[in-house]
Amino acid sequence: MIRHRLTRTPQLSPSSPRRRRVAGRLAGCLLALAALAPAHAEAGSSQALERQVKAAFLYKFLGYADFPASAFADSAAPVTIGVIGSDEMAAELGRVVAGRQVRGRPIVVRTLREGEPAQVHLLFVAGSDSVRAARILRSASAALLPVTECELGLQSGSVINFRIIEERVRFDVSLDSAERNNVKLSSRLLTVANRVIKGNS
Amino acid sequence: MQSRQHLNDGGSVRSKLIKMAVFTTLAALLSASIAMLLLDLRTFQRYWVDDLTTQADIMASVTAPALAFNDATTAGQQLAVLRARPQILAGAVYANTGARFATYSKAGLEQSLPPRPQPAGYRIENGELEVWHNVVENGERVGTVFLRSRYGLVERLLNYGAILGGVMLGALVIAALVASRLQAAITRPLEAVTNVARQVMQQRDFTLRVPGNNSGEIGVLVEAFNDMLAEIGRRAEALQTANRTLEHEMDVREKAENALIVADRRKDEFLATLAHELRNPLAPIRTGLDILRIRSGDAQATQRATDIMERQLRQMVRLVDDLLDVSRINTGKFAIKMGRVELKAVVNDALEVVRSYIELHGHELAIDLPDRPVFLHGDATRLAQILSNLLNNAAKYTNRGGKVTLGARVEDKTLVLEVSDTGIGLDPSMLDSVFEMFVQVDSTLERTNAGLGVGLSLARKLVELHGGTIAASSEGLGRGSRFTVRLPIVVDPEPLSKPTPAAFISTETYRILLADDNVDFVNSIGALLTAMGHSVVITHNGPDALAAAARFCPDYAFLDIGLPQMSGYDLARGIRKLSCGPMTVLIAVTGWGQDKDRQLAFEAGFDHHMVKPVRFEQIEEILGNRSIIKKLRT
Repeated sequence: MIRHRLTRTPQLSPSSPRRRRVAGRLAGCLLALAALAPAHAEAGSSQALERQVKAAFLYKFLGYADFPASAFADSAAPVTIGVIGSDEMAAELGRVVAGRQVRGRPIVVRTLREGEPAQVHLLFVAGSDSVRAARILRSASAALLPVTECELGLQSGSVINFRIIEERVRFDVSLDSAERNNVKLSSRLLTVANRVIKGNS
Repeated sequence: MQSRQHLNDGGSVRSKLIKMAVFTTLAALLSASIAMLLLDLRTFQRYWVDDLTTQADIMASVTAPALAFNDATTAGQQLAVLRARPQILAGAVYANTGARFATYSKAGLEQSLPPRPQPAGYRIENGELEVWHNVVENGERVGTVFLRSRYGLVERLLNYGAILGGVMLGALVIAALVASRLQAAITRPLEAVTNVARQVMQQRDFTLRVPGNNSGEIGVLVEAFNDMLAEIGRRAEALQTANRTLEHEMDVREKAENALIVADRRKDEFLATLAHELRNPLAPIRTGLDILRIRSGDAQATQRATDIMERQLRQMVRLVDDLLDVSRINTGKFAIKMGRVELKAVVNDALEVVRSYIELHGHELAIDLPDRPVFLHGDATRLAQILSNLLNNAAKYTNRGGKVTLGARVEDKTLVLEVSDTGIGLDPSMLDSVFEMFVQVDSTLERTNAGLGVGLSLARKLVELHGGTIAASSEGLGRGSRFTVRLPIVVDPEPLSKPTPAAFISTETYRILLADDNVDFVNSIGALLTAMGHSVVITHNGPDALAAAARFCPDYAFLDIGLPQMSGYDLARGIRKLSCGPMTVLIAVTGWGQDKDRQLAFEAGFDHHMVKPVRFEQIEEILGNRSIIKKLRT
């Protein structure tokens, strides 16, 4: 288990050159993805790009999610992201969240194994196997904000499920699941969601 | 009307006041408007910038998730909301990489959007407002929002200017109306003052006053103006009065001057006439003397010569007497002895004097008197003098062979005496002036007919002294003239009928002393008195006279003042000291007829004073009055 624990120092401003560079690169990759991926991109680089985008998205989801107060031990307690099934993703996330905070809390990325108790705020279940994802989610019911990237992610109890639409990374949102987990999602997030599912739909 | 026009033109106070109010309002409004306009434009700009910035902020906030999750479609939809703001022409969202992420253009507008993002802020170009705003999400700048809006500054300026202009116009109209109402408080009194001032200038009427009861400076002005008018009026009146007085004085002076000139001319004429009149009798007298010398033996010729000489002498004496009387009257030293006088005696006396003169001219004399006696209160001698003067006058100014009439009648308590003639008459313009001193009827008359102009003047003065009137009338030149004298009558008759002088002469004789160094005169008088039956003693010097008086004890003593060896005054005092002296009637006979001479004579003891030459009638008169004198003395 690789554990990325990068506590962000208060001195580090959001607009530090390094971070801007990272963000710039990400945006550039996204653009490249949008323009070039279908015809020319190799499968490997395409997967890496997708992973980078998803890692960025995962980090940004934290900004639009409101966890219950009971989810944190104290006011300085970090926000934890658990990743199952993709060490690359965990590593990528570790790079993304390095030096960043969400609502004054540091971010911690943990790599989890299947069946491992998932006491995390955000749980990313990698892999497109819906059955496996459903199984993992059932076992990791403590996760407040599960995110999947499989066909039937939301049906499995996931709150956010990544989709690739028109070769772009998009996501669907299940408000019922979020409500069940007592997590409030910002309406602003919903505006950019591909689909927002509420009730039995 | 003129004033109305005057007030309506540009220079009047009324229009000035209105202009003042309007321009003041205009200035105030203009400065306020400009200030408001500037402030508004500033506020307007800030508002627009703020508004657009807010809009950009909202857009940034809204599009932040789209940017974050790389959702250009959603961002484009979100930008499309800007449709609700028509003034926003274009908008764009730029990603952090600098690439244009999403755009919006107002429908129907081709907008060129900047290809690259620019720093946050705003700029105004070509009537358009552009705002750049950063999109910050979770403390990170994720992109830039660009908004472009129509910037309606000019439009705003025009709208606001139009509103301000309208308000200003309205305010000016209201200001003009208010001013035209308020200005009346100032212009009405001023107009009243102006009108009155103009009227005063035109009519010269200083009694005009400005009406009204104003307060404040206007009131003071009106009051001062009225006071000034009153003062000017008073002064103008004073000036006019002074002018009138001066004119009157000038008039009086001119008249006085003219009177002086006339008097001077009359004096010259008088002197010439006087010389002539005095000279005239001298020629016949001289002729008479020649006759006497040459034909002294011819009794008839002597008689005639003596008559002539006597007449001429009498005329001359009469003339000089008149002159003296006039002189006395004029100097206020003339006194008349008033007493009861009977008309017939007066007439007789007068005729005695003038009869010979009338006859000499060959006139017919007609006399018509009342039958019953008429008594007058006056001086017999003077009354006779009046009549004799009038008769003399009538005879003189009537051509030879004329008719002179003396009439008398009683009207109520007035005696009317009329002396008329058929002479040369009088011009109507001369009827009053003939009574003035030295005035002669006509200077073209022959010199022989000319008089001194003294007779009538003296007659009038004597009549007036007796309380009567005298008037002249004539039917014209050459048709005779008529002099009418009116004198008051004493109604009650005198108890004792006054004896006529003739009665005394015939009944009584006196002892008479004559003292005079003029031997001819004294002898002739003595001869006459002796002839009348009186005892007469004649002396030629003082001591002889005194001795004679002591021996002779005369009833009358006629004493010359200028006696040799002893003056008449001393002689008189001497006679008065004699035993029989007090009873003697002393008569001074002198060539000096002044009042002071008379006074000296009376102081020396004389009873009478006679001025030479002495007419015999005077002596007779004195002798006739002896009883009265005696009565007075005892």
